[in-house]
Amino acid sequence: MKKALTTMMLLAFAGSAHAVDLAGVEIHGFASQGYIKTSHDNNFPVSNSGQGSFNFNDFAVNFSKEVNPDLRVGLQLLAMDRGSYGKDKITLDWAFGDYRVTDWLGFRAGKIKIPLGLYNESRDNDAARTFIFLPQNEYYDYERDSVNAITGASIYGSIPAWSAGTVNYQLQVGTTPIPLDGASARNYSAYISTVDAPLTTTEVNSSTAFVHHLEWRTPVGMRTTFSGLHTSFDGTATGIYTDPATSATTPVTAKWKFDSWHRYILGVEYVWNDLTLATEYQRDDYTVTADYQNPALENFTSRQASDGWYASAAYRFTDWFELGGYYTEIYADRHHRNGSTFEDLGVGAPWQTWQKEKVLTLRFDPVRNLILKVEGHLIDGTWNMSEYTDASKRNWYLLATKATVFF
Amino acid sequence: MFDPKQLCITGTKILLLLCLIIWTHSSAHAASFIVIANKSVVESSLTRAELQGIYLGEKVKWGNRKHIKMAVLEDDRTLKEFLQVILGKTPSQFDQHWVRMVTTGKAAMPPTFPDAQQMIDFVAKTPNAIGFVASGQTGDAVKTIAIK
Repeated sequence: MKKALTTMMLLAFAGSAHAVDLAGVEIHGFASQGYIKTSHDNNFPVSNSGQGSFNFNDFAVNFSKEVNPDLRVGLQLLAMDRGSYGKDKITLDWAFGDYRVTDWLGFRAGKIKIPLGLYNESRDNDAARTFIFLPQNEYYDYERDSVNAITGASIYGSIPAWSAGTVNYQLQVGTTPIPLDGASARNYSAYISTVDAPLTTTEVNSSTAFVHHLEWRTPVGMRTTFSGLHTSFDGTATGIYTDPATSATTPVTAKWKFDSWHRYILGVEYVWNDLTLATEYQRDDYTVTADYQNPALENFTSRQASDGWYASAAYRFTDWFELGGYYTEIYADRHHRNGSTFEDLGVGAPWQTWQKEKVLTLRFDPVRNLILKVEGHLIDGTWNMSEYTDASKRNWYLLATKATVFF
Repeated sequence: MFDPKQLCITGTKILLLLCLIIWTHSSAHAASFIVIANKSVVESSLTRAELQGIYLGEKVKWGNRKHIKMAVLEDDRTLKEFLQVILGKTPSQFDQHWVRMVTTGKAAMPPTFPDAQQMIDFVAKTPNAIGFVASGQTGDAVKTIAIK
């Protein structure tokens, strides 16, 4: 039934898709239906056991109204399905009031998208980019809930820099709401789970988060961004510990904390005619603590220092065809990129501490407001597969296709 | 290993590349479009950077703090030239920028008009409006904005 509705929606929008305006309320949205297949055993982000899956879609609709020339209000509802999370549950993606005093000073309050790097704010909208998956070093799907939006307030503005272009800034303060049934909660569970004690997060609390974002847009097609997010998360998780020697089981409750999480991202995008080049470098520092209420498990505190980068290129050959590609790397431990951290601890293979991807995408725009994409990934390593501790292939592939309409 | 000589060579190459890019962009030929505005607009000229800011949704106020009402002409040839000369973007890149703006709640989609006369009518009737048309299509209902 869902597939039929999706198909009908795609066909209905594809003909003549325009914004809807009802009594001054502007309505926009998008709908995406995709298909995804990965190497057997390495299921990311959809759990499909290598069989391929249509549980790969996004739907969004937003409403906005200009209350007066300086004040706007709006909200966006979003539903997504990634097989193991999302499940088309409707969520409030963003909702805020926006008061613009002048070009260089504006205020927003409510649930506001977090401006991390070049593309985080628009990461869910397939129509706004060439690729189906943005580079996972920085736009990791299992981290989306932690970096999607802040509930709080922000100030922002645009400052002319004479012949050097324009500087845009945003400062945000608030908390990052993280749903228990979302991908981030699963990701946190995976961090503190062991082979003998798989745990499920039962509570997540976010500390006050600070976000800063600076964008320098030059007059020659170049955009440079520097962003940071500073926060902490803590919570509880429960599960069952199975003694490997006796197979006896005991319940486990764990208190966990991702403390002093600092993320910095430096990005550069250059647009020249039909060519778009982009590169971003990102580094994370945080401390993971797990306090297991079970004597069989050993508590730990671990300082983490990961980083990653990517370089992408996209070229639009005609009005209806664009070709893009990127190469990305992410490392669990930037001080030991060769994976010796895992090797020394004896907890896994070195290649489980990195992920390197070569990606090629074909994007077609056959009619206005309809986009079709085909994308292939060749991947070395499984660091981003933390949810699936039994991911067994070092070299694997991911194939995705997607049809999107927007209005 | 940090190598100062290699760093200097790389830095020089990047500077030369930037110079080439700036030269390429600054040698844009004379445009065949005209920027028009409602007669209530105080400004009679704008820099290219100011026009960029307006059409990217960054500059939203005129000098007298009135809210700018920006409009887009859909006519293929004029739109392409305007976007290329002023923004350095293609229509597709411009569309994607505004899709990002709208689906993140940052701005409303600018109104679009299929032909010059409809654009002129909108700008003439809407206080603080700005738009663009092909050269020679302005008339007396609107004022012309010079590009500094």
